Amino acid sequence: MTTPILEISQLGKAFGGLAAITNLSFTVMPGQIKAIIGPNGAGKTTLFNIITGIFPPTGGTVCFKGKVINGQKPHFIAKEGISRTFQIVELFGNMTVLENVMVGRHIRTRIGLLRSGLRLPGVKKEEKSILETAEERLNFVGLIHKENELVSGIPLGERKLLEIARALGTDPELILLDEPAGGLNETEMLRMAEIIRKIRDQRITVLLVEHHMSLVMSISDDIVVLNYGEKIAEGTPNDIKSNKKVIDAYLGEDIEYA
Amino acid sequence: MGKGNIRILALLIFGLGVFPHFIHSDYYISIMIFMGINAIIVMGLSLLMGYAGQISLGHAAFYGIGAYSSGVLTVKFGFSIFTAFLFGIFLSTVMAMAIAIPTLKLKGHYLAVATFGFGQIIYIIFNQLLEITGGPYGLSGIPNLVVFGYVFEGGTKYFYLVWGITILLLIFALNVIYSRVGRALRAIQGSEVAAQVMGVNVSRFKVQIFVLSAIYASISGSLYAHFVTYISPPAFSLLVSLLLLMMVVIGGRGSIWGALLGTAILTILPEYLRPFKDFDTLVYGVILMAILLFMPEGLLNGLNVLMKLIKKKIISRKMVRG
Repeated sequence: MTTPILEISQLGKAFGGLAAITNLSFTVMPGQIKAIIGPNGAGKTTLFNIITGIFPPTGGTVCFKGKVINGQKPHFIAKEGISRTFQIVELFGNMTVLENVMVGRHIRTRIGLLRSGLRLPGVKKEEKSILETAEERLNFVGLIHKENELVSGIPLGERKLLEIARALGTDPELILLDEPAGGLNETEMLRMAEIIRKIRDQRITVLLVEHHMSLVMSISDDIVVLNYGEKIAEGTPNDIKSNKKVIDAYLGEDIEYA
Repeated sequence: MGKGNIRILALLIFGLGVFPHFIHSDYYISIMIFMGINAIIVMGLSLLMGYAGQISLGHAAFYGIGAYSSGVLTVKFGFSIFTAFLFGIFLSTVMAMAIAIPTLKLKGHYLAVATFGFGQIIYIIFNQLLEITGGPYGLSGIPNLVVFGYVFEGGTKYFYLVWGITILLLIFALNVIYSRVGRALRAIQGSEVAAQVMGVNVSRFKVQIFVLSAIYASISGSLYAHFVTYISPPAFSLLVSLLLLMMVVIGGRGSIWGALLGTAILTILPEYLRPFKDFDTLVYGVILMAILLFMPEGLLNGLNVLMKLIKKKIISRKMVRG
């Protein structure tokens, strides 16, 4: 058996007295599409924020490729090979579509203030490589025709794709997608499912949080179910569909509401 | 750096190049020299405000450090002009790092508060170190600038020197803006959390830009000292820091061209207000308020909007006639 790419063990996070995540453990295997589902407030986005280093956990560890990464700064974790998208789109609204993806190349390029200010040799070459890779990523999600538009000029569905292109710009080994289908219509959702599969085909591991069950069930290899910050189930889509605890968490226990 | 920028830059260089051939008055030349000196600091501040999203209330202190380094070291300690100039840059860099590294790790406007305090401290030091700075009496006898044996005295020569340096620093700034670093800085403005996740070391870039702006101010201070040959503390007070900030805001933060426009207007304006005699400050204030009230995004943006309006008017008139 191969070693997991991501290993979450006994993770806990409390905001003051409020426990957002309690004693959470699970692993993600390389090349998988793994989904995290659960009702609102189950701690899914909190988990993504911990993995990407936006805030530290109160307990437990996050291991990426066998290395503990919790407590590290976001830019360090990005360099290690984890990238993400956001539930509420966090694009750079003051930039064009192409420039957004070019920022994604930041961590894989290195020319700093002094060299770019003086336009020393190498600047032009690096800039060209940034441009080419960014265009390639835009092409991957099918947004190349919008490259010169401002972010404010494109619809939500395309913004979600743009966030993915930007995240792919960092050459991640693991990509975290926070509700990629949130707010999308039926056609856009199908397109999204296809792109997520395409990402997996590039040998990039996908961990996603999603509410649309049809999407989750159709693309995931494996599912973790969270409720009130705790894991209540884990398994293949078929396991999850028939799990009693999951049905209760989602639909409520009949007796209580009857 | 973009075709539009290169065109404006070429126009600016041409205009400055021919300026002394048409205007022979020493008075206008010296106003233009002060404009160039101001422009250097204001460009640095514009990078800091528009691209790093931070405010400095103490840039006059770095300006002063440059000026006093050049003045004191050449007059009192016999340093060469070039060494003194470099020392000013070095001192500003060290001080800027000392302020920025702890404060820029925090979110919010801690830098503004820290630079405010720093500005006051430096101002007091200029006033109190009588033996070295001359205190409130100032420091005189600062030599004219000599570069490779060429003496820059008199208006026109200094005009070309100052604006030559200003243009080079402008090109540097434009290169930074249209680079990986500039994109990272704009990304921080767009969404700090997304910039972090994309791997931008947010605090490091903010510190770098702050240090760069301090270096610009120091260069400007040295040029000022060698031009006026006499310096005293009021030229580096809080009021000057605020005036420099005004230049950025009036022109339009977020654009280096706006900063240059703001510098030009606020350098020239007081000269045109002389006829108002005692009321000049009042009129000056009213003009500034009017600009900020009607063009809160600055003059450059205001002009753009105006141009678009006029274009629309012309087009609609043509339609009516046609």
